[in-house]
Amino acid sequence: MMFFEQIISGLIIGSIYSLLGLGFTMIFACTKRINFAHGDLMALGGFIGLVFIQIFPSYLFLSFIFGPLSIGIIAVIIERVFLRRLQEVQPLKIVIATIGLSVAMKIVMQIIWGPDPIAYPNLVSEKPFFLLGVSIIPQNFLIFLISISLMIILQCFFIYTKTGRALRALSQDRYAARLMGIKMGQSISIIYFISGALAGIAGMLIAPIFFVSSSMGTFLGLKSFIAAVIGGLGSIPGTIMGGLFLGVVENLSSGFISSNYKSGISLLFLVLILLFSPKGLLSIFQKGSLLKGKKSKK
Amino acid sequence: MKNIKHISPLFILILMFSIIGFIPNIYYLHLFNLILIYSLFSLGLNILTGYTGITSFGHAGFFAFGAYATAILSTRYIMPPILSIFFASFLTGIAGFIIGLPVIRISGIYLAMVTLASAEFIRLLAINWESLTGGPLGISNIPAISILGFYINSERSFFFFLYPILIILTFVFIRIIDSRFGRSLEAIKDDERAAESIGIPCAKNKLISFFISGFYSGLAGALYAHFDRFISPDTFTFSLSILVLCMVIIGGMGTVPGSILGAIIIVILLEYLQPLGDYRLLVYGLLLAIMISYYPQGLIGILKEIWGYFKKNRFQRNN
Repeated sequence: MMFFEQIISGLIIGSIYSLLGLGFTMIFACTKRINFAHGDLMALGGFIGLVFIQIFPSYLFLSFIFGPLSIGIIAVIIERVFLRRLQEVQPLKIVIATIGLSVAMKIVMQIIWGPDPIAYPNLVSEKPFFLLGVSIIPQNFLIFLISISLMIILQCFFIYTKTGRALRALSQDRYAARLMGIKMGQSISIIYFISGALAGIAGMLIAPIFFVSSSMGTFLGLKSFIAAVIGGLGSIPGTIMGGLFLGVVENLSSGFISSNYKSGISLLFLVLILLFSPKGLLSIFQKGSLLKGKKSKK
Repeated sequence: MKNIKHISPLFILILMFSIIGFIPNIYYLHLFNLILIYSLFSLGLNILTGYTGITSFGHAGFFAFGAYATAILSTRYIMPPILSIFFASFLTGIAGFIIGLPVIRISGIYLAMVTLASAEFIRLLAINWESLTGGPLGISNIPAISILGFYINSERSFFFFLYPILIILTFVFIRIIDSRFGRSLEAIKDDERAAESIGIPCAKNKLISFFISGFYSGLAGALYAHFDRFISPDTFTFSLSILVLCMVIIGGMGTVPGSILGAIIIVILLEYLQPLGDYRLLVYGLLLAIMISYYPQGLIGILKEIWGYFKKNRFQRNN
């Protein structure tokens, strides 16, 4: 039973990883850049969500709308002020700039809300219920449900709407997309807005478990970046799978091996994946003869 | 011998700076020692980031490796510190070589992530391998360096020990950069495919630059261990990696004076912003973001621009 409980709690933390990893993946797909301040946007989302919860104590869903929206707007502002002028230079420079921003944001949050973690009000009741003999806390179930449904909505957005198709075109070939009349700057702003909003939601969802602190963004951001790389940076289904996979593996290893090396194991996975299949885990399956055979028939 | 007229003013300058060793204030000497150590460290990062174009987010790992290696060798195995410093920096070079091995397959941000991961590994090992590294408590009572029975245990003697080391290693660094190998590194930075096509062994040269970078950073770490005589895993966190990246970028990537200037500025900021506590990281973060987005050539680039402006004005006046 412990095994199943480990897997389920792994899936729950993994869904947060994939929700955050989606931000990395979308920005990478459209701009070929990586925004390392993403994890700190999530922490900021937790704090701003708390502010909105205190403003509208009786309408929780309002804070779930306004919090992520404001994080999305902050992400767009950061992109406009610091990152846009770096769009055409070396990709690593933007990484260094975002690392600087992430450090600065962390300290700003520390100044405003203090260094200690702040407890978060529970969004739903704490009484656990039983599913197939495993006790599940409703809060955790809510995290899983909301993040999975958000991912499905996002995938639908990318497949069915005109903006989503434009963004996908941009990720495939920027110059061709530009020739077709897709506005680059506007699309990049949209991408940053969506990823910021997702980070805000992730921050509000994870806060009741971990509490909000200014330093939570660093390790969660790093883990979710690793999740995105494991699944395949730039592919949305890959990132979702990578996040869930990393969450489960991490929980199992800390349960059965040692919790001291918990973050070491995810980093080990990162190095192994980068060495043997730099395009992510999903690409291993895509290379398989099964899928190729189907394609050739068509 | 045609460089002789450049060398003699430089020689005078070097002698002039050694006067710093005689200033009476021990606190300032302490700062200068830190500057010397961090200069070595940022030179070590500069050969990777500035010359080869590989960004490392895990140089604190190399620093920690060097520090722990010399501390373990000199406390557990009673090796004379001079020897153990040398061994430690050599071992760190080899560690850098091994950490750099993925360079054959990956590059860019992925490689940066591997360096970050390796630094985190080294830190986790330092925390968890208690029998060897002393765990979270670290290693204390690291012996002072002794040369021919003369103990280097005061700030002043440390300055006179470090200063020649930095001078010699800076000259070695300049010789490496000016060599055929150093120019091939810059070719790799500018265009890897073009470099490969004219016959530069890219992977091999990158690995050698990882070795050199590891050697310099490990030496800085080892000297730091004998300077502070106490090390613990808390010293070698991610923020140290950021700090040294700050030095290289604020000073100017791909220039030797830039690394040293960056070390001077960061150490002085570090000291004078002491009352701000942890908040001084805000200053570094913003400096890093602003410098890289508005002045990517660093302070040396800005100084050169100002120099060029004055030169142009004089030229116009003369006409």
